[in-house]
Amino acid sequence: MSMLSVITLTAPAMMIGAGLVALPILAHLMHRRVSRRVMFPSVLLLEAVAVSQSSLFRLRRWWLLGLRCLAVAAIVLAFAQPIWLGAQASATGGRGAAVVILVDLSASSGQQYAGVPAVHSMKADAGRVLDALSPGTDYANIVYADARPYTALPEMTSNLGVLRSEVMSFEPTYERADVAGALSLAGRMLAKQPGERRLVVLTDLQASSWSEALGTWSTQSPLPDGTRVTLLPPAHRPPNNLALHGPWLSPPTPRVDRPTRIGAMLTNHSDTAQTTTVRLRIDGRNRDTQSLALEPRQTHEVVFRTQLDKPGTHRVEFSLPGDGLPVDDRCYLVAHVVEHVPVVVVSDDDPDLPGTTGYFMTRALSPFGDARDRYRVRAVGSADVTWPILADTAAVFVGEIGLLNPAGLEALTRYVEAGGGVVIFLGDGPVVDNLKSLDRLAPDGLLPWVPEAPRSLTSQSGRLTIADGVRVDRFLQRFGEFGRDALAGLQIRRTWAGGDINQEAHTLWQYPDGAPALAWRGLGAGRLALVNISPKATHSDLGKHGVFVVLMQGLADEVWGTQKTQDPGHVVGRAVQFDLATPVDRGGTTPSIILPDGGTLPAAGLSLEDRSARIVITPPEVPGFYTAAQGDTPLDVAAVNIDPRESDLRRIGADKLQSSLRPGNGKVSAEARGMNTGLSLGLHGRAVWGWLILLAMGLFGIEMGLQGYWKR
Amino acid sequence: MNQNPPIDPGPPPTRRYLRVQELARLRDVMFAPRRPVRGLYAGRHASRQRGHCVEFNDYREYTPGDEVGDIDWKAYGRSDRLYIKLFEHQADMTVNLLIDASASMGFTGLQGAGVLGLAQPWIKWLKGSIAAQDPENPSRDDKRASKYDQACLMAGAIAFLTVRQRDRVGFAVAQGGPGQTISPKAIEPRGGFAHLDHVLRSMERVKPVGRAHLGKTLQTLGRTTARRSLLVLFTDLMEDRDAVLKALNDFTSRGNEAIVFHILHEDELRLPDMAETVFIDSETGRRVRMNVRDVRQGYHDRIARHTDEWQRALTACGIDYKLVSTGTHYHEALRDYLFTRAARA
Repeated sequence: MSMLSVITLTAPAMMIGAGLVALPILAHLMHRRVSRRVMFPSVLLLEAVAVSQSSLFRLRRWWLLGLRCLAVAAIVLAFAQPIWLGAQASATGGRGAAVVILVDLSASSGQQYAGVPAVHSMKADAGRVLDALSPGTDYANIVYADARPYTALPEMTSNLGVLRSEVMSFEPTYERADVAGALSLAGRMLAKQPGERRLVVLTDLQASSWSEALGTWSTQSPLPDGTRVTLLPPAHRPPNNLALHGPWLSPPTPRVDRPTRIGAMLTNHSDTAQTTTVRLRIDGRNRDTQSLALEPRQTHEVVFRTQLDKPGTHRVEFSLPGDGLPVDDRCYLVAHVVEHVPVVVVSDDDPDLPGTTGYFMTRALSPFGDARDRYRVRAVGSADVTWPILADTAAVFVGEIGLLNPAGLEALTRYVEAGGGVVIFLGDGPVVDNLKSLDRLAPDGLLPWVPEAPRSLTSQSGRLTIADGVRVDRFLQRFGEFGRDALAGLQIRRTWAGGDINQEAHTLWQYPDGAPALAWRGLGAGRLALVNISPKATHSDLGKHGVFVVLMQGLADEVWGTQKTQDPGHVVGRAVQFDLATPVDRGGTTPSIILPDGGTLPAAGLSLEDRSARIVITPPEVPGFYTAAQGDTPLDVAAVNIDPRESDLRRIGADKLQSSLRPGNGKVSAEARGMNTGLSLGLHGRAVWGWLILLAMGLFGIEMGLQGYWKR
Repeated sequence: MNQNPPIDPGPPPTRRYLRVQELARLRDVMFAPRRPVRGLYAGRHASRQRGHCVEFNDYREYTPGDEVGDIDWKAYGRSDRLYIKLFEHQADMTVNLLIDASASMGFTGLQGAGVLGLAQPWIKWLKGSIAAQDPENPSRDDKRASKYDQACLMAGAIAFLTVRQRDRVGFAVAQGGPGQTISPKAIEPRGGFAHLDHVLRSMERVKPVGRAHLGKTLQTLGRTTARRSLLVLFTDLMEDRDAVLKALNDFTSRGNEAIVFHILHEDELRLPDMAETVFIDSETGRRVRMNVRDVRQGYHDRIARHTDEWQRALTACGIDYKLVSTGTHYHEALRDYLFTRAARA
């Protein structure tokens, strides 16, 4: 009886198999009845010696039968999965175990094996784990690991039925999981519960996700001491996966009916070469396809050359045929097409007053003053420089301004970092203060060189020359021989002297004494150019020459036409912040967000910043196009994609994970799929079915050994 | 021994129980009786018959009734007594082959019975289905040859040797018991290869069944064998020993010679590796269940004692005894015996 009190059967239904014990008995009887009957001539002689046959021999058959029956019984008992409670039962005082099931719901969990989503097996595993618990005694909860980990129930519960219904409903998300946060949450849940603690992790072991999580702690585990962790990795190898990511547009703001390049990155995350077809859809219509072959782990840039025939916002979608991870077979991009390239001229001069810097800059960019002009110039004063004004601008030209306010400085810096181009003409006013303020905003500086003091030039010293590289620099190639002559003939009366040129800067024009006349420096994805000359009539006659038109439009093209849109980083699970192309009617209805599936986010999911046009979408849950609208008027569209890191399905080694997860005095074990995972937890004692299998094998071995011995 | 005539130019009969190529090893061996024989025709074997022949044998005193012409007058002149001159008469030999054709002689071994564990019936069935044997050719798988096959092969070889040396050979089987022992299956001794072929065909037709009743068969045979002859008996001696010995004594006491080839199967001499087995007697149907591993050594001792007792009893009666196992090739066994016999002669 004491034995029975310390053993419990996890699957008592399997004891039905006890009937199998009848098999050796039946075989024994059949064996006795039908086997080994031989005709023999010398039976008389055999009879004469039969008296020597000992009675022990007759017991041998029963010995063998007993061993066989015991072995079968041990196997049947093993299938019933008994747990040896033993001393542990008394040590825990009968307290229930606390089990937290951490379910990795990251986008990579949507991988499929032969068309079957991996989440199905995760559900089955979670169900088996719950089946192994004792209702009313054990406490459990489920932690879902997505971008913002959460628990199925606020607290640990012994109502396992509720958790079973939870298990049936979870699905993988499109998000990148915060595994570290999920582990910490699980640790907090477990820490509240006394007794044995167990964490069961259902995960695809994605290497990038787990490496990132493991990197968040090095010495202290997020799990309480004594926690035993069981990893249940997928049974299959990661499927082959091709992923689309990083869509881009060049130029960033295309003009109507002008050549436009639309591209995306295609990565083969498989260990084998793959061929596929990339389809381009714009505004829901198929536009083009490309077939590609990729080597293992190769990334290829897919480029489509097209034209967009209407101004406004266009929805660009790339797609692949389905593969092992469907969620990354599409990526999205928004193209804002314009009829005129928007540029901003920042000057405190009157742009309509001939001879001013603003006048010359505006006229150089918009010589016709009508629809024939390539650029749409917006002239603003230095006090009006804000991020919304600059956000969709192809280039910004600055000259003859007063002291920039902090908002203007920040907007310019942000604009450059975001990929914009700023050209600053050095004229009068607080040039040094403005530039130094700008320089300070960038961690490593922003200026190609720092002007220190104005200086006057003689006609000879003011002669411009073009620096080396005319043959290779596309910008310089705009200035042919006549252009260079025109530059050399400019009358320049006032420039700025300064310090050394930054090593990262690129000098295009320079004065005979080596001082830079035109130099630029990159910052982030954009660049900032300093022109050490002012078109103002009192400083030079640059603005009066046609070469100034070439210079202005060339600079605008250079900083605009060669750029790509940079990935705005709008990924599922992270708040999307974008600035509306269309101003919000502040007197109208509250803007709302139209989701990819056609649903609408209430106003609570939308926040206005700066009351101008900045909108933050609370973390989107699915990839696709999110439309900000005010009433029936669309304001802007944002494309949201999945985190490209989710596409790499390579797995972290179980050993590495074990060593990294090991709590202070806890124990981590990784168990292979194929076992009944729920039962292998051994929550209330030690699983003894392995020993029973061993016992059965031993009994069979003894049976065979005895047969062999008696046979001799 | 070296005066054997060449084998007849006519093709010897090719039968199941005669393999002439294998008997080429015995071409220099002569199958001769150890006792004088009585024959119808002049032959190469010593005979107790005396007559007008070339080999002087002895004198004896004249008694009334003797032919006057047989008196040796020269001896009378030297000794003044009448002597009759006796000459050795060489006669042909008559060999009677008697084969025990009881059911026990049909034993072909215990193949497939000695396997392990619960799977034994299936393995046995599988082995049985794979090891199909050609019943018309026992030499194809000697391990499946019965004791009767072994006996017939030896008898066929002896018959061939006998015919080849222009002697006569007869054949009989011991089967079915009294009343039908000899008459339906006995072949009178004759010479020639045609007769040999007849004998071999008769061997082939016989199927070992029933019991032999060897004692009575020998008595019957002794009565029908009027003249001194050589009896070669092939049997497993699973018989009443006293009856057999008495019959053989009676047979030899009439001037006949007997040779007993004790044919036992290899599995009888050495039980194969088997577990518990039900043994059914071939002739009586008697059953006994036992574990071979337990009785194996005892049985080996018992069978050794059994053969030894037979050997001693037969040898005491002046009968040659040769134990032949089916595991030994028949011509090797025969050659061993003939060489031993020649050495004793």
